Amino acid sequence: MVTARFLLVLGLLLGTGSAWTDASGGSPTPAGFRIGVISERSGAPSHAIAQYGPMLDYLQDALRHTEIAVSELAVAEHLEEMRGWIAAGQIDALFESLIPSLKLEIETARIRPRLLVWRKGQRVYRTLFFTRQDSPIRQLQDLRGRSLAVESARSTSAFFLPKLTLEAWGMHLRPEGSRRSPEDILYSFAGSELNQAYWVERGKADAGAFNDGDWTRTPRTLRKRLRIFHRTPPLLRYLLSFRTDLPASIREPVEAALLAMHKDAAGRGTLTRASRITRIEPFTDADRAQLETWRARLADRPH
Amino acid sequence: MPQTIRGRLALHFTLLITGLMLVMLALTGWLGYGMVNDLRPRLQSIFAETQTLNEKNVLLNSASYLSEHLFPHLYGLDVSALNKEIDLVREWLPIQSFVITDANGRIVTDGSLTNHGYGQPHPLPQEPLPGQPILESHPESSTLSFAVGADNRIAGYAVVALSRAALQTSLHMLDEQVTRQWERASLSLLLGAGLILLLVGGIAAILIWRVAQSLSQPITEMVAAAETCANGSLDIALPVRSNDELGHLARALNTMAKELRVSHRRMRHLANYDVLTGLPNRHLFHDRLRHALHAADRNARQVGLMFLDLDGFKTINDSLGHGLGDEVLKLAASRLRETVRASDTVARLGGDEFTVVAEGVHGIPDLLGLAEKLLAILARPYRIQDHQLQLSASIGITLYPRDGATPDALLHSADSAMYEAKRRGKNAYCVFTPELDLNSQGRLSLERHLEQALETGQLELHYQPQVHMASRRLTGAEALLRWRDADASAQPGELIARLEDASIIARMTAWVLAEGCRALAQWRSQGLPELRLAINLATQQLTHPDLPEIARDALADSGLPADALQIELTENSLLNSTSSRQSIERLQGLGAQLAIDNFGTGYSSVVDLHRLAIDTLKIDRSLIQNIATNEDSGLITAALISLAKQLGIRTAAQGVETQAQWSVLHAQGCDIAQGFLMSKPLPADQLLDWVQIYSRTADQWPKYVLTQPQHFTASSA
Repeated sequence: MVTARFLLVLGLLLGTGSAWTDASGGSPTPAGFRIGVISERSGAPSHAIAQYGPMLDYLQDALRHTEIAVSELAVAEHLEEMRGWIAAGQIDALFESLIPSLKLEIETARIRPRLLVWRKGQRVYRTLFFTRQDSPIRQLQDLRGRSLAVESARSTSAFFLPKLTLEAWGMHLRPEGSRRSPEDILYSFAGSELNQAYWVERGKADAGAFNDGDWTRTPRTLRKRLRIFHRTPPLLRYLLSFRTDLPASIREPVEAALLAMHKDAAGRGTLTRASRITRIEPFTDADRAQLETWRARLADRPH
Repeated sequence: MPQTIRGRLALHFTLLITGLMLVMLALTGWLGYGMVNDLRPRLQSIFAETQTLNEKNVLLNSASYLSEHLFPHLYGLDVSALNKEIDLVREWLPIQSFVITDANGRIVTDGSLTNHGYGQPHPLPQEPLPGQPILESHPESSTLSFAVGADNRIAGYAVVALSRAALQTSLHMLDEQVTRQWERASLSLLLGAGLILLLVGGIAAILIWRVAQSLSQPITEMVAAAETCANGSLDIALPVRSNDELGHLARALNTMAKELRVSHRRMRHLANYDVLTGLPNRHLFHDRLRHALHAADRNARQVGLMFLDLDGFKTINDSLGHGLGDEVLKLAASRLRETVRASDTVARLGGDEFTVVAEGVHGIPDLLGLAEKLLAILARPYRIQDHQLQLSASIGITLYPRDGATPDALLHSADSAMYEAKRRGKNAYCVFTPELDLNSQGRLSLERHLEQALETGQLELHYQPQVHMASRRLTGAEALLRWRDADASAQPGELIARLEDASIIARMTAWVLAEGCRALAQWRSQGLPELRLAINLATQQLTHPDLPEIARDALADSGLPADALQIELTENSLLNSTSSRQSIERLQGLGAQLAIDNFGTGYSSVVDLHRLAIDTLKIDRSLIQNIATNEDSGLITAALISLAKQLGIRTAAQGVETQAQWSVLHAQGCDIAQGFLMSKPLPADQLLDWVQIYSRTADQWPKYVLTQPQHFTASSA
């Protein structure tokens, strides 16, 4: 009698508990198709949910003839969290920029980029290194021993790529306050591309690095006081990766729906809302080649 | 202008009140409007001040909050964060511009991405210190400047321009609201005022209408009532609604109508009833008789009609006077009334003639019984003023429809029967038989009787003394015709007036004159040399062509001078008739004196009197009767006497019966008196006796009353 009741209560608790965790956008349930993103604003997953919500609804509508149920967006606060979910097989698809996507692929071996996502009107972008007009810095090598303003830890074009680029040139990038040698380049997170520009202009950092899109969005008043001194080759901007063991019966309809989404105005609207996605398209051969290159590069580096 | 009191009153007062209301409302409205107009700007300024004060406080408090909030971002040069903060602030302050500068006053950000003014110096009004923001107010905007920092560390400054547009808008909105409210209020005030005006006007009109109506309605009613009365219907009853003048008027009108009704009734009564006895008069009698005959026709019954004549009444009237005679009549009437049945009608036809209509009779035997009863009751003695009198009656009985088909025929038959009863000896009744009725004999019988009386010596003359008031001497005697058979005594003129046969008239006149002159001649020779004979003549006699001859003959035969004769004529005899005038002239030509009898009741003119050389005016007894009691009679007689005196005509008074009458007449200057106070009409042989007896006591006149209580038997055979 007592045990039965105890078990019942336990069962209820577990049930409600799982419901609770569901509601907060925690670990996904095995059923349904779950898309994940890493939050641009830390501590505000609801922002991302609001952004992607319409797109998911549209996707679900597009998939209504199938048995696929589009689950709520999974929003991770940082890369590590996402890694854990992917490793657990709870994420079926991931929207993320190139380097974090490849990193996750390498680290978890459970996802793989499959589609290219145009974002903010760009399918590729490049990183620009800039400094003040009157700065002595003329080339990358001149950065030795100086400070670099980067955006945030998860930014590809404004952190990862500059870092990789500098390291490829044999320079070391270390966080602020952790100088080991006089030639170390100290980086500091400015928080936003705008701040990067301001910091450099005001001398809070010797140089900054962000993508070409960010450069166009920098206020002219600032831009005219800044100077680009290095450009990287173009990088695929945004990728959609799928779980590797996702059945094709699920993956293909979803892919088809996503590829078609930009074709009508409603779909375009939802894509725009979901972090300004312009369209989703399959990789070209050149894209794949670039991916391979980057895979190799990233795999070499211990992280 | 309305034609009724109601309308005029209503109009005037309504206009007055409406006018007053308008003035009041206009005044109130004007005052109110002025007040509100004052109020609006004051409201606005107060509001503006309050708003400004609020603003100020809000802004100053905001400054410290913002300073705190902006500091870390400005210090860390997190421009994105600064912009975000500025965006936030925009949501709850009306910001025109928000500029954040560094410690040197150079613009770091203006909140926009383009950031035009970056790096340029931004004018700071002053250098605000931490915790001491500066607020400058301009009409269109305010500027809030504060240091972004804490304690001594100033990361930079912020200059926020706040639009006061909101305030302006608010003020404007407030103004609009107030204006709209005022307009709405003034509109509703106007409407209200209009409604009140209408309401008050309406109520006033209604009230005034009612007041006016309360005035005009009674008046209208009275007008209608007056018209009704004028149209002959006196049956008005005005409602007395109030105790004011109108109420009094209504009451007065009601009283007047009532009095008129009463007097009309009395007149109707008078028209139908005999004044003296209260019995139905001739008019009502005829009506009742007709009605009875119709009823008899319907019910197949018979109606009895009795014609009653009091025997010897004329004698009583002549000897005891009309006052007593009236009393007798009254008594007789009441006896008759009490004796007949309730369904029978007793009526007084005139004089001493009565009729009885007996309805629902079955035959003559019923009537005989009644007649017996009536005779018996009438025969009982009458006690009046110490006199004990006795009368009898002669009754003629007829039956309808046997003895006549119409009321007149029936009456005629009854009359004939009555005469028969008289002829048979009086105190009897006689039932009508056809032999009695000879149509033409109605009047003829009288004439024949007279003729007969004349031939059989049934007629004789009695003489009433005429006394000179000043000297109390006997100056004349009026001759009265006495008919022993019918026991009637009348002025010859009166009797003869009933005759038609001219020859009878002539014979009568001749006899009267001759007899009178004879008696006079005798008296003259027996100690009354100045005595005059007065004879009353009817118009028929006067206009008889032979009259002057008859008179002359009579005078000549008796050897009297013409002035011993005084012809007495009624006023009406003088009227207009040329034959009358001629006769008069001829008589006067003879030398006879002329007197107007019953003067004061006819239609003579003063001019005629004078022209005709009348010698004496004999004032009618009706005027004399009331002379002592009625002021008007006294005035009239005084006037007549005075008039006569002025014209040089003698005055004589007829029917002087009381001492009081004598005194008044004497005081008024009347010359001659005639009446029961002096003497009743006497037989020729008694006149001298009277003269002898009473001339002795002449100086004690008028204390002596002639008529001593006597037992007077009228039915002495």
